[in-house]
Amino acid sequence: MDLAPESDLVWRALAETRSDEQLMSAYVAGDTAAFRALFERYAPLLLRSMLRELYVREEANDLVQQTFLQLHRARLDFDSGQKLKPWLFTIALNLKREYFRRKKRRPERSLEGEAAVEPAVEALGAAQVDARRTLGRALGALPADQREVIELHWFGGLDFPEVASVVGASVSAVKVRAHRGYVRLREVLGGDAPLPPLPVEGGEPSERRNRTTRRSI
Amino acid sequence: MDCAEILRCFVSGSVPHSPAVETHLKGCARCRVLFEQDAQLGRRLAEEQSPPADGGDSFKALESSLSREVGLRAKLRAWPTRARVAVLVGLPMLILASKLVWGRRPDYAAYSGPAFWSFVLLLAVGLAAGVWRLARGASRPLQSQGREWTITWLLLVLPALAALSFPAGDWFGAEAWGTPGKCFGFGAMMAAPFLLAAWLFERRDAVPRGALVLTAALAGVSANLVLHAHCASTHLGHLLLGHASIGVAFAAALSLIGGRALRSG
Repeated sequence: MDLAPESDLVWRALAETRSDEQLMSAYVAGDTAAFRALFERYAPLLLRSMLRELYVREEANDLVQQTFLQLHRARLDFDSGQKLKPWLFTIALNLKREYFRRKKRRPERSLEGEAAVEPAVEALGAAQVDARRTLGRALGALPADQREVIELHWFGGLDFPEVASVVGASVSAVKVRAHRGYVRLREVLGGDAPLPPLPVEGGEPSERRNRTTRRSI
Repeated sequence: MDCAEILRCFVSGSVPHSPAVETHLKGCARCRVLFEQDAQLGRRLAEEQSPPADGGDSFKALESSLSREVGLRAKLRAWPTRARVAVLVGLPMLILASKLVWGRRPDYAAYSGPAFWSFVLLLAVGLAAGVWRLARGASRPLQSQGREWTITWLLLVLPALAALSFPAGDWFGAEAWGTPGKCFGFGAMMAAPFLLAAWLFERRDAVPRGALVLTAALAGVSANLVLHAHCASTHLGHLLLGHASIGVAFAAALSLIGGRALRSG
């Protein structure tokens, strides 16, 4: 398959206008720029998902690569009547599970490991880095089925029927797992630590530190 | 207002508040948790936004992998799953049909028709179900490891269960013992096309151990389908050692070899 790189303008324009399913259909028909658009759209999201549990950027990157390689090999299975996103996350989570089963255990949490995948402290602010670490630990402490549902629902942006199709459970079971997971997270995180401001797209680190959370309550 | 919209509000940096939100919260226990204690959980979860990954180098690496997807194996494993399943199930059935036409078991005429075909049906259904699971690979819905292994083990013992369920004659007659070793070798040879096809169709580069054992179990089922049409022995020991153990032996071999047996070259 010819994968000569398209100009940035062309594939960025494609990514903005077409849906996931249109891009995938185009790729199956031979449009390689469409595959790059899909990659640019979902690779960061999948990488964040992998890094929340792997802590080694190279291995997380490798799993993201494998996900898209599997998507390529399975391209003729694509049904344009079905959504692509749940399928993509199914592949990613299966590969992640298989990775941990090969490793026999989940990696030990360590400050060095967490620091290896976090942006530099000066880019975010110490408070935000600490909050992110706390949240990461809280997520890691959840049972696997609850963590996966929250991963897909909150961080992946899938609705509950889509999450149910990925994890192979009923919608009601998925909702119960999500509720239990959110309750557990709230208990673990507690209510004493001050909340750092929410990060915004772009901006200098000082802007991020000084910006306050917009609250409409 | 639904869960997805509330989530998007949090992620965009605001805590949603409106009559529509209040109405939604009355019926959604999950979202209520996000709003408790001054929306602490919703706001904390919305903070988990790492900087985006550098797509340029990553896509170049992916391009490099994709450019190596050439050759027969790349073409075959890109076949739609239905086509791959049809071949993996069709191959043993074709060999079975050939055996029934040329060289079927000497006692075929005397064998009870319902018993014979019930055995075939049981193994064929197990083969089809297992192949469907195997062929989907990383695209199958997530399942617990316990459930995956339960299904694999059932397929491993299916030939033995079938032999016990549909006896063709005297289980312990000395003359029925025959030569289980020859049947074992013959059955293993008959399963070779299935194993080759499974390797050609496998999409994953690092094949998990569970998938290897499942492949071995299905190879054993396909071997037993053919042996059922070939071998007239009714001795239980012969059936278990010479026929039903083929899948177990393959499983042991593939487990030892590990992922290299089905890894792409």
